[in-house]
Amino acid sequence: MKLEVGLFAGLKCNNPELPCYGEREFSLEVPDGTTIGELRALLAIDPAIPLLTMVNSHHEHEDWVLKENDRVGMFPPIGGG
Amino acid sequence: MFTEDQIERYSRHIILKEVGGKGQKKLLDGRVMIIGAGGLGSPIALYLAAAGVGTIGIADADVVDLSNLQRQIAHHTKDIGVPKVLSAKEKMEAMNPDVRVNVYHDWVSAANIHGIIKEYDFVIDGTDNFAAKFLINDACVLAGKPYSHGGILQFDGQTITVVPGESPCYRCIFPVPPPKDAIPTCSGAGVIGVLPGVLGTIQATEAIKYLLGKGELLAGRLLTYNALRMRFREVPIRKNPSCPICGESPTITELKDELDALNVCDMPQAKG
Repeated sequence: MKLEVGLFAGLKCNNPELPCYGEREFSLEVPDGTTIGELRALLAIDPAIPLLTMVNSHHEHEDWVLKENDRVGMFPPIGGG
Repeated sequence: MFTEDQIERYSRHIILKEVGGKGQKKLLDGRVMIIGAGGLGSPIALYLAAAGVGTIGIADADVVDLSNLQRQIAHHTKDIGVPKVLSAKEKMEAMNPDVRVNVYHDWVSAANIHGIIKEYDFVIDGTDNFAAKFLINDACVLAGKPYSHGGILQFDGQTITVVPGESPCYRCIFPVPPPKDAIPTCSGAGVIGVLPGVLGTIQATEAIKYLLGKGELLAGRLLTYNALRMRFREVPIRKNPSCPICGESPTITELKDELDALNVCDMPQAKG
């Protein structure tokens, strides 16, 4: 299934095996039933970074199962001031 | 109750029906604590002083550095080497003699933060590291003190207002701080100088609205800003039942320092 992914505030796709490598906004083909947690692992985002994830404008947790054409936004905390 | 000068000084507030003489009195009686006298803290301190918030606390252990001046507008070239809290206090008092400024020339820690915030109505986080940001959240939640969180980096900013007991807290969104060095937070990554002006004035607005008791606070929604794309996003946030501090069975019941989250860039020897 296809997802529309937006990575914010310095996040990017860190998996060199994927066509989105280095990008922040992209479409991505993933297996049906992929969860938010599995998507972040696929994108090789440091698992130690806490993320706020939005799916179609709703705040969802890591075990949430994604669907075809979902728009997924991931936001890390921002520590500067 | 107002002097003639005060009526003139605050006239553009007083003619607003949401403020009026009563509201201006609330601001003059109001007490706001600003933690961090840098990028975010500068516009927050200057605007709250201009608005006539009667008692403003400001905490920071740092001294003004030449590399701060591209964004930390409370500090001038002549202030290099001066403690930021004293530099900020000088500008605030020069701007408005009605304001009493209490300075705390110290970093906040689990040991001192309760004493620093307890006398204030509203707290503003203008700090530059996750250790302080999580500590401020925890201290405000445990003390039932409303506060504004703000964070900036490069071209991005985030802010949310937390009303303990009513709205989600910072740990409802991010339960634990990222480990140190997982996310750049300081000199290495850069920050566009106008960014803290955008975020800091939003935080100051929240403090003023809280004191006035008017409008809707930025509670239960994280506001994100990207300056390059000039885009604001509002992300609705729910209270997290498993939040470690305000959830159903909290694991954090007393303050502790998040040592692993301390940013080495804050240490004087790491300055480069």
